[in-house]
Order: sequence, then structure tokens, then C-alpha cells
Amino acid sequence: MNNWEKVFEDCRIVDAMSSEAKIAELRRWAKQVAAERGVKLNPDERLVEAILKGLARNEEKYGKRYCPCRVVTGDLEADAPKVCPCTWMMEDVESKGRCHCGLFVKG
Amino acid sequence: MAEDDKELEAIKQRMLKELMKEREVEKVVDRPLEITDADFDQFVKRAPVVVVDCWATWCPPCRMLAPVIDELAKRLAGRVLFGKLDVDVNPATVAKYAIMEVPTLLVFKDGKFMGKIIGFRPLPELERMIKAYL
Repeated sequence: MNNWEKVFEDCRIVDAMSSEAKIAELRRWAKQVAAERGVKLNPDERLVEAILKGLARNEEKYGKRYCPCRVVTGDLEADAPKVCPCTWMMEDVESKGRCHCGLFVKG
Repeated sequence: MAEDDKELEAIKQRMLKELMKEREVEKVVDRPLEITDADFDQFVKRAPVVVVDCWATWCPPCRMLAPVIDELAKRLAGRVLFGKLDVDVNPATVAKYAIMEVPTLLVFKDGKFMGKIIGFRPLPELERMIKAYL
């Protein structure tokens, strides 16, 4: 697949998955994760929406909500820690104030 | 001047012109260039310091970093060459440099891999970090 084909395919996936209903569902889920972990969603709405679209795209493409800022290798075991909330989320929020992609921030 | 000498001189002049043109092009590259697995190894040898921004379409910090890289490519034109590599379609480079997250910057000096800068950095911090390789 060349770059353009990839962009078209990604657009198709996002069109299919980034409906308002899907993003609203992901937002509810992310808020629940934040509440359970004692963190908050990033107050930057545009950033949150972009990450939720990335999560929707990865869920459609790979079947799991992989962090859009982690490289998915196709090795299920190696990729497991990259499912949002990723293994490094709490550590990053505590040390840097936010997780790597920026979805979750210090509460 | 004998015919052979004239021809030789013409060839010399042409080669010199081409060489100078090539160098001039390198000097004025003031924007990041799109690269792939196929041209990666050649690209990192094109300038004394080369920085490759490994990014992904759906990664917001990658998008935040893009204008920073554009600005640095202008400021450091002729001294540092910047490239952009989409990790989704270039698995060989991803595997070779064990890229786990994006954005990741790969830094090369004289064609040799020097290290990675992981995650978004503001312009002044990144400029300082890259200038340290000059």
C-alpha cells in the first residue's frame, strides 16, 4: 500500500468510526478511566478529540484501542501494553503531568 | 589548445558546475523532506547532521511537533538536514531503530546514529538539543 492509498484507507476508517456517537462513547469511556485512576482528561478539547479519533481508528483497524502515539507491531504480546490506558500512563502522568499522547493529565 | 584538451576542459567545467549545483541544493534545503525505508540509509549521509522525525498520522504530539521541525529546518538550513518518516508505512526503519512511540527523532552525525529524542519538545529546547550535535 503506498502513502496515498494509506491516507485514503485511513480516511475511510475515520469516516466510518469517527461519527459523533462513536467519539461520544469513547469520551464517556475515557472519563470513566480517568475517574478510576485519579487523573483527568486533558482540558484541551481539540487534542482530546484528535486522540479519541486515533483510538477509534486503531480499534477499527486492529481491534484494540491502541494509543495512537505508540507503534503497533502486529505482535499481540508486545503490543498489549500499548492499549489505552497504556502501561506507562500513570508513571508518565505522575512524572511529567500528562501521559505520552496527552489524553490524561494530573488530577 | 588541442581538441582533446578543449573537450577535457569542457568536461571539467561541466562536472564542477554539477558539483556546485549539488552543494547549493544541500545548502538551501530549508524544509523537512519526506523519506522512506528505501532511501533512509542514503539520506542520513547527505549532511553532517541529519535529524529524522518519525511520526504517525493520528498522533497529536506529532502534529504539534511538525511546525517546530519546519521552523528548525529554516533556522538550521545548510547545517542540519531534516527528514520525515511515516512509521505506519516504513516498518524496516521502525524495527532497525526500535521505535516504540512517536514522535521520535533519530539523530545522525556523519552518517552515524547518535541517539533518539522521544516525545514533543518546545522549539527552544529542541533547538538546543540539536545544536549540541553541531
